[in-house]
Amino acid sequence: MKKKILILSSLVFLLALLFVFLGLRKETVTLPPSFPTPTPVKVVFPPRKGITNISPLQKTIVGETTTDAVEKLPNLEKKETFLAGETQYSFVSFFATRPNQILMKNNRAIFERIIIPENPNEIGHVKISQLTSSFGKPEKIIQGSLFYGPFSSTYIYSNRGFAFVGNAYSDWVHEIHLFSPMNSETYIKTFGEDIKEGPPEPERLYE
Amino acid sequence: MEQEEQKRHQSRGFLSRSIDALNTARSIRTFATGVRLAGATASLLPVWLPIAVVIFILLATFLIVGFTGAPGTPGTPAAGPQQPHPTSPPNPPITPPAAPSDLRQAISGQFGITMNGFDQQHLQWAWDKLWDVSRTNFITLVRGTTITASSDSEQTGCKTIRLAQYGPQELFNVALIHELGHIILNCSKAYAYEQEHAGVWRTEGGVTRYAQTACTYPPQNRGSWQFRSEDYAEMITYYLNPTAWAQTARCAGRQLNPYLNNGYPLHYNLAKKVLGAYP
Repeated sequence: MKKKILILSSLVFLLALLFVFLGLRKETVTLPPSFPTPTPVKVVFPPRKGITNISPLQKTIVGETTTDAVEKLPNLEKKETFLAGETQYSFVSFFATRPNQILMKNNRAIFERIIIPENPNEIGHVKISQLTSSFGKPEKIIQGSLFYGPFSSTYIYSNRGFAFVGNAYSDWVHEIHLFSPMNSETYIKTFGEDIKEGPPEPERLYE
Repeated sequence: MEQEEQKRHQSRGFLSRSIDALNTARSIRTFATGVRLAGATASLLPVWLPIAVVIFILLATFLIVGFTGAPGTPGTPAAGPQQPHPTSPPNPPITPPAAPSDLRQAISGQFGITMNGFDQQHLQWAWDKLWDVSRTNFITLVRGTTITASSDSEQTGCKTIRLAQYGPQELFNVALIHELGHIILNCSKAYAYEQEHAGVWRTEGGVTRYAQTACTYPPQNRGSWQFRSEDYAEMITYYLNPTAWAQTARCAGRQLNPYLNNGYPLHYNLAKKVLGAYP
């Protein structure tokens, strides 16, 4: 009797090993063919509250996140306080010369800038086409960026509390801005300092 | 005394005999157990053997299939993330083939670059240089560009360039690659390593005097983008023109190639990452 139990248990063990092996093998074959995509978008109302989940790199919910929470965030580079009572926190980003930023006023986040990784294999990388297919046509597109050059544009969805800067040709999103829903003129005036309309600056190597 | 010694000897003999007997008994028991086990195993063999063989074959099959790829497509790698760069095309011959009679058409057909308004001499130089760099990823990254002959040189649109018909050939090659270098950074669909370049630029500074000064722009218009953009184009230019003098812009003068004597290693390595090995 004991022998039979021994034989049966050995068989069961071997079969279990086989199934575990098959399961593991299946996992490696069915790897997703593309890089991680952002989590599904959720627009929150009432509109004074900013968008909650546009990127896995998002650190705040505009109108809700407090100074205490921001001060606990890692990779803080710089903290600046302005006369208007705003405090700007700069964090290390994927772009050596362009930090992630959070602007606070009255103990609440009022603006967040998220630098998007260019590497398609990095979490948080997103394409313009992906955002426009999720959110539809932007309220306004303005070509020309001080930091990213004349071939990049700002895509404004200010009524929904966000905008992003990207290059239409490469389809790469450089950065996302989050803020309280407002009209596009107010966004441009308040947070649109990088917008620079106009044709490329002439280079003229040997004029 | 002698009697006592004899007694001790006898008792020792008795002890050693007893131990010997015990050892023999143990050996017999061990042997008997072995025989019993062997007998049991032997009796199980007809049951175990086919099952063990089947399991072994199954495991071996799955192991082999697992290592060689998906079933039915041996050697095919599993689907993974898209490669940021295409693999380098096979190395072209060292000397380009005899130039075709219609060079403009040949450049368009071979490299996907349209050159409008250039004379035969500059088309020939363009053909030679593009052929030379076609062993790298460069052509893939700039394919689809239209270059128009002009009195000066600049990128005017995402895939459009104005280029002067400079001489000598070295200067023309430098300006040609420089302007096409802007296309890679600003308008290529491929991963151009712009973010990594910003780190390299911050660490090593501009790779040439022109990259350091951006002197073709009015001072009030020289911002971060102008410096980074010119540095990127210069990084590409002198990687693909390793024997040329740094001479992209008149206002920056003429210096030695920045990569001589292992100069600007971070720039050089990034150019290599973007374009592949050259020459």
